[in-house]
Amino acid sequence: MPYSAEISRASPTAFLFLLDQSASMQDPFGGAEQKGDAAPSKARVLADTVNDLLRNLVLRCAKDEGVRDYFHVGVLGYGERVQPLVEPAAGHGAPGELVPISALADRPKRMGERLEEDGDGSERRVKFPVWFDPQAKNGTPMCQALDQAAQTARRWIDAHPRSFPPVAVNVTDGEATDGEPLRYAQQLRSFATDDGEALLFNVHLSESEEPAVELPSAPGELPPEEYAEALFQMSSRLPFAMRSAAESEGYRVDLDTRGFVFNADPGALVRFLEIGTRPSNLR
Amino acid sequence: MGGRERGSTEALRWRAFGISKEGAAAGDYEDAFAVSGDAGAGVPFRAALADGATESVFARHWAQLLADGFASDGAAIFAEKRPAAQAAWADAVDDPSGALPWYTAAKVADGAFATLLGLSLRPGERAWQAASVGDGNLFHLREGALRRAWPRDDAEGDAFVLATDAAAAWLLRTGPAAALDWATHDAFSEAVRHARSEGLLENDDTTVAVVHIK
Repeated sequence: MPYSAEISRASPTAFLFLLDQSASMQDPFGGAEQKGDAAPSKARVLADTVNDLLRNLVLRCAKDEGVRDYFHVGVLGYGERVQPLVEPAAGHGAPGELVPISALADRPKRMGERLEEDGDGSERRVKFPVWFDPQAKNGTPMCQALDQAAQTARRWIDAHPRSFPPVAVNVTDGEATDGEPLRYAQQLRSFATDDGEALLFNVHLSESEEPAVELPSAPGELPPEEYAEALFQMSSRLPFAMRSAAESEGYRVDLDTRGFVFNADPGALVRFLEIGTRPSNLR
Repeated sequence: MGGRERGSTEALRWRAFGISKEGAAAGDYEDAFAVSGDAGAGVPFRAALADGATESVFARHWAQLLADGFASDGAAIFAEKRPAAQAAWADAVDDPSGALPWYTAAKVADGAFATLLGLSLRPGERAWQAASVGDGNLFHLREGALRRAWPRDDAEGDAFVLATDAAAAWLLRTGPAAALDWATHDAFSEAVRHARSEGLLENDDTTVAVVHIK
């Protein structure tokens, strides 16, 4: 069965996050204008959400002796230019390569502190890591970002031919300004390990107050926009373990369910990132 | 697996086997086993298995505290003796100087998790009692034949086999009497290796304890 490789230190998997950093990411989420100027920008929400996700990925790998390298991680921003937002330490892989999660854990850009509610209602101070800050500038070079992600995935697969294949999650609020991304998406998804083809999921952030379309199985479920259909076609079907994760989050899924959310609000973004990073059980 | 691996009393002999999941270092083993000291008159013999959760940190230590707690206090470890065990775990992982990295500190704050299965025997009275939280299993055999698998279905007898989750699923499939034949740890390791390669045993920490009534 594809997408069932056991994930271990000897056989890790890879996560690649592609984050839109175009100028429109300065705007708040759809419908938030009425709430006043204090509404955080899409760029801010996305940076906070992905920093949080990276923290959770680290915690899933943390054991008594340190962080086990079950995952290799990359974060690519695309806006003013295409740039890696996390980098391997000097001497641990070429710039632009994926970072073992233990190295990521030990090298956040800085530690922040916030109050979190405990189970019993009291509050405790919790340190949280920040790897990158929000940015929003210029156009949307999504094709170039997908192309870079594909090359990174291909090199990683060469070194890990039997692993659960890389999972790429692209989060954007608009159309590519550098060409037709479907071709680049297909290229990325054509690289495969023995366990299956690389997976590409897409999250489109809301510009309107329309309700989100989460995890559709057919284009008919989408609003009649060419752009929505293109992102749908770019998105992989969810493998078994992620369908289970989606079901336990309350979604109805089938064999055709795509890893795609259109018009996502912040809640839908968080839910989807959680589902898309549940490849299978860790060993 | 550390600690004692075999022993006997006037009325019984016991033996424990444990092996970590394949591809993991021996130090990654997170099951725990404990037996009571030599039972005095009127005191039952106790054996306990605990399975520390992979998701938590210092789970092996918590599993050992629970197994030791059952061995010395019986089912009270599930109730009035539990807070002391929790305090012992918290003391052991306490980090007053803040030396732990942020991720270890965050996981310590979440606590640790383990299953626990305990068996109390009074061979003189031909009586036994078992208590469990989680997916550990107990098999009761007589003359090599399974009398009862608990809590999987619905006595007095002559052998008991305690097993953690993956080991129990395997023994249910192939017959728990096989455990009575392991004379050495090598025999156990070989059976585990074979069962894993045949797909009969999930790759997990695997712990089995056998108690024979004489």
